[in-house]
Order: sequence, then structure tokens, then C-alpha cells
Amino acid sequence: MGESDLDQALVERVQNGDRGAFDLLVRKYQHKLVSVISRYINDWSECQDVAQEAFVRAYRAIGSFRGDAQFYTWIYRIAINTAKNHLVSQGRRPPTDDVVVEDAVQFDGASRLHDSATPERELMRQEIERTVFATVEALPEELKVAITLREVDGLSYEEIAETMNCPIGTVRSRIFRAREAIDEQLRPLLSEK
Amino acid sequence: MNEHIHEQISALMDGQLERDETRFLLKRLPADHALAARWSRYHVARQALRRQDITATGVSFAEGVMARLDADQPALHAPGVSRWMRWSAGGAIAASVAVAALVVTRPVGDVSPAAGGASTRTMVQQGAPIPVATVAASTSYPAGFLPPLLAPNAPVDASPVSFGTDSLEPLTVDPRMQSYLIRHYQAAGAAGQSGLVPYVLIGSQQRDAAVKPAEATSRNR
Repeated sequence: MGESDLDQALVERVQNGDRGAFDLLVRKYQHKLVSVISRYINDWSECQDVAQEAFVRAYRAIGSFRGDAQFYTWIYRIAINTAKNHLVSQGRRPPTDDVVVEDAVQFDGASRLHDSATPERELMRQEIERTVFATVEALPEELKVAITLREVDGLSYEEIAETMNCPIGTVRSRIFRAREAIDEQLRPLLSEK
Repeated sequence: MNEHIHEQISALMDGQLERDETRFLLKRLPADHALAARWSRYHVARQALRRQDITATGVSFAEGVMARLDADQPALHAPGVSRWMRWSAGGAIAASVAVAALVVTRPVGDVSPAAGGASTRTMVQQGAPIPVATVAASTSYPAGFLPPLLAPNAPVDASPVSFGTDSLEPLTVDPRMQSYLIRHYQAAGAAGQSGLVPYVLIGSQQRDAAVKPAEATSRNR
């Protein structure tokens, strides 16, 4: 089961009445979605409000999701439409230039994606990035390689096991230990939010 | 024990967990605050490592979404309602429309052999049919109450609907019935059953000249 298969499995559970599965989808994508909406709406609490509304709309419409597109692509469109509708309802003009979903999720500190971010939010984003990369840098070599091959290069456990010449169970354990180390540093930053 | 579950979360987000473990974890995760928060943070780390655009949102964000869902979840529209509930709701609507269509239009109840001629339909209950207008007129109802158009003890025609050449009289559409059916269809559509009752246009044949317009009007009240 790949990552998109996991999303599809979660969606199917939601379609069968499992709201807990939707909670997991929200927790997985909330950071991305709020970021996308912040391109349209500067005010932080308003931005979160619209993001929550986008998730609610997605939940209502999830019965129509058939898996033709990736879940994130689908919910991304809902988020953009919700943000635009919100602006129109407030008598404000939504921006006419949309960003395609693939571009929108990529970081580029100098890009227009972050033009609208407040200094505090931009600072927080940089802090998260710095913390994560500094932690990875400080990891033992085998953990650093494992997590990099997985998250940056997108290799599967089997491919990493082959590359590192170790059993899949070891790969799984190394990736987990790397994530735990990152999480330990990240938790104080995110718990304040 | 906790570390084992944390490792399972890590494997789950990579899609590398066994099916049984996945099922177990998907049940447990949303119910456990700390585990759900960890699931969220692991994804923040992933997005940072992949240089994806992220904005740190509070732990209460997801709870806010779920609270909104609790607040405005219409019963039949929610994905949480099981499929059989939706089917049975749609089925009930379809059945009621079908019964109403059969009874109200009384397609052959008042057709005499002389007038109807070559009809091949048979009556389930033999005997003199009770005209609906008579039933409605003989009963008093409170103001604003619309009596059901189903006459008690009226004969039910259970024969298959015939579109043969024996029905040459022009069909007249009862607008009340049509509007009733459209409302039912819309209700069925709203319940996700749009495929069940596509659209039924009912025509009642004006074979019985005994039902005068005045009586028909009183029936409508």
C-alpha cells in the first residue's frame, strides 16, 4: 500500500461512516491546506476558519470522491473555491491567477506563494524547516540516510533495504527512530500553536 | 508498548503496515489525542523535509473541524449514515410513490365493460368500486387537512400496466399528482437515491364523466 493508497483507504472508510478516518485526513493535510488558503486570505483566524470550512465541505462531498484524482488534489480545489467564495461574500476580489496544485505545495521562500504570509508565520515556517533539517543533520548516519532516502528521494522500504543492504524491518525501525528524533524537537514548536 | 504504536504510525504513513495492523491503528488513532497529534507532527516533518509549503496550525484545528461536523451534519447527507439506511429510505419513498400512483389514478376502477371495451385487466377485488369523490365528500376534516386520496376498501388493480392500443382515450395529467411526484423525486434525489425514481408522469384517463368538476374541486380540499 502506497501513500495515495492509504489516502484512498481512509476516504473509503469515511464513505462507510468512519469519521475517525476523516479526522486523520484533516490532521494529515491541515498544514498544507491552511498554507494554500493563506495565499488568498491574510488574516490568520479568518484563514483557519476558511480552511475548516473547506474540510467540512469536503466531508459533505466525500461521497462523490471516486479516487480518479489524488485526495489532496481534490481537497485542494475545494479549498481554493472556498477561499474565493469567502472573499466574494465579503465583497473582496479574489486573485485571478491560480497556482496549479503541484506548484502550490512546493516550498520556495522567494516565490509569490509567501508574499501574503505575515512575518510571524514566515518566521514559524522557517523555524520548523531549520529545526527539521538541523535534527536530520545531527542523526547517526544510518538514520539520516534512511529518512533521506524515504522522504526526500521517495524510495520504498524495499528499495531502501536494497540500497542500505539491510532487512526491511531494520529500515522501518531506522525511519521511525529518525522521525522520533525530529518529533522531539518539533513538538515544543507545534504545541504552542 | 507506546513505542511499538509510534513505530506503527510511522509505517502507516509510508503505507508499509500490514492490513490487520492498519485496521487496528486506524481505529485507535482518532480516539487517542496524543497519537493523533503525533500523526499530525510526523506529517509536518515530512512536508518540511520535502520542502513543501506548510503553515503550522494548532492542535485544536482538527478538533474544530470535527466540532463543526457535529454541529451541522444533516442525517441523511452524512457519509456516516450506512448505505442500507440510504437504500431503505430511498426504497420507502419509491414504494410510497408507487402505491400512491396506483391508487390515486384509479386507472380501471370505474371502467365499465361497455365503456372500457377490450381491456384485459382483471380486478383483484370484484365488486362495485367506491368513487374517491364520494369518500372524500362523506367525511369531514379539520380545516387545512388534506385527506389521503386512498379510499378505504377501494379495489386495487394489481394488473400490469398496459400500453396497448386498447387505451385510445386522451390522457389528462393531474397537476396535483405531478407536483406530488416531483416533490417525492426531489426528496429521493436529496437522499442520494436519484437513480431509483427517475421521473414518473402519471396520467389519469378521464373515462368517467360522472366525476364533475365541482366534485373534483371538493376532493382537492
